[in-house]
This record gives sequence, C-alpha cells and structure tokens, in this order.
Amino acid sequence: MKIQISKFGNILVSRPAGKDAFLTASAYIFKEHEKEFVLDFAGVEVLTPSWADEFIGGIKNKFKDAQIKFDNTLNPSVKETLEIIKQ
Amino acid sequence: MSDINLIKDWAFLEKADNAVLRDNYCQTRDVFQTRLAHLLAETQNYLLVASIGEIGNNSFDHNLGNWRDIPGIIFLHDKKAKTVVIADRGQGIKATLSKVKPDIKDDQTAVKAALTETISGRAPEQRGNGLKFVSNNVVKNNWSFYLQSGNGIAEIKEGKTSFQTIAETANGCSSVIKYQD
Repeated sequence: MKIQISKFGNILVSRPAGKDAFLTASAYIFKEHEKEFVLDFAGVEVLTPSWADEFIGGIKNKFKDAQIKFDNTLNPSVKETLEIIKQ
Repeated sequence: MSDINLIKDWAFLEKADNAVLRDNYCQTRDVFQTRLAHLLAETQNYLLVASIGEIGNNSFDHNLGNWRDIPGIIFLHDKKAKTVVIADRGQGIKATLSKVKPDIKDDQTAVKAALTETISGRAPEQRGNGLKFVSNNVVKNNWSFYLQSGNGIAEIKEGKTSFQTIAETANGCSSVIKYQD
C-alpha cells in the first residue's frame, strides 16, 4: 500500500509525533497482513531520524515480513534521514 | 555580551537568569515546533531545520519531568549572523548516557559518545542517531557546530571535530550551529 507521508505534516521532527503517526496509521490506515509499504515523501519539507525511527521502526516491528519502499526522497532532510536510519 | 552567548551560557549558570528567556523560551515541544516552522520560512533550509529539530527535541526526550529548574529550552535564530542557538537546563548528556553506559567517566567522553556512537539513554527504545545526524549535516554542508554539556565540549569547524574539557560548571546543554545558505 502507498502511504502519503505529507498527510502527517510537512515538518516531521519529534519522536512523540512519529509514534502518534504510527499509532494512528495502525488504527485507520494500515491493513492487516500488509506485504508491501511504499512510503511517499512528496511534499515533506523536514524529516528527522527521530520521527522516521518511530514511524518506520513501528512498521518494521508490526509487519515483520513486509517490504518497505521509499518514493520521492530528493528532499535533503528526507535523503539524509533515510540514510542514517538504515545504518 | 551577544544574545547568542548569553543563551549559550544560560544553561550552565548556577541560578538561571530569567531575563534571557524573553521571546526565546519554548517551555513545550509545541512552542518549539512553531519556532521550527518560522525557521523554515526564514531560511528554506530543510537540513538546518531537521538538525535543529533533533537537538531541541533531544532536550525534551531526555529531560521531561527532570529539568534542574526551568522546564524547556531557549531557542534563538540570529538571521544576520546565520546562527541558531539552543540551550536547556536539564541533566546533561553524561547523566543521560550513564544509564546505558556506566563507564562514561566525564562530560567530554559523554559528548564524544553522543556525537559518534548510536547510543541513547532511553534504552530499550531504539534511538540514538540524532547527534550523529546533526554532525553529518554540519560536516557535509561546511557549517560549524558547538556542543557543550556540563564541562565537556565538542566543536566541528571546517569539517574537523575536536573535544575538550573546560573548568567545572553546572549541568545542562547548549548547542550553536552557524550555517551557510
């Protein structure tokens, strides 16, 4: 499924906000047994490792076998954040 | 003394000088988030706002309910000097990291670990990339960075990182980023 990350905001910086986004998406957006996520960062202006760690880490923990792909990652804060959380 | 230096030093005074707070005070994350939106509007610098966001939120993540006296942070953007300063009167990095790394002996070691290792005092939660992210951005964009926690200092200038210990001072944290367009 494709998730428009900008629907959570254009400045995504704190852990509580990332955790809240994950919990809300778990309740209303994600489907059970999801096999693939495409996270689309179009329209996101600022992303930090804290927010991403809570949201993407949450998906990884909940959907252990799912593939996660990223789209529209040219914004420098998105690019650097995705790079550092992969490490 | 400039506002930047007043705020930088505010974190380490035995008794806080509340005159410094003025419009620069962010008692909660919500206020800080609003300031970040202003910073983005003023600079259009996405990586700068992300870096400042990590530093400021670190203060809240690690000191909530445990500030020395004044809750929250001070945040100042000096547009002319292209400088952002953030300071908190929290417990400092050494106290935070000692929980997961009891062998940290002093503030300088703590500052170095925070900047170079994936480590956080909030184990078992997964976290600890924030200051590494900031450090990478500073080096890649040729900014300068000053981080003081207690009497430990890290400085990044022209891509080179150095660490030092200064005379004994109170706990707390302050960071200064000088950026380029």
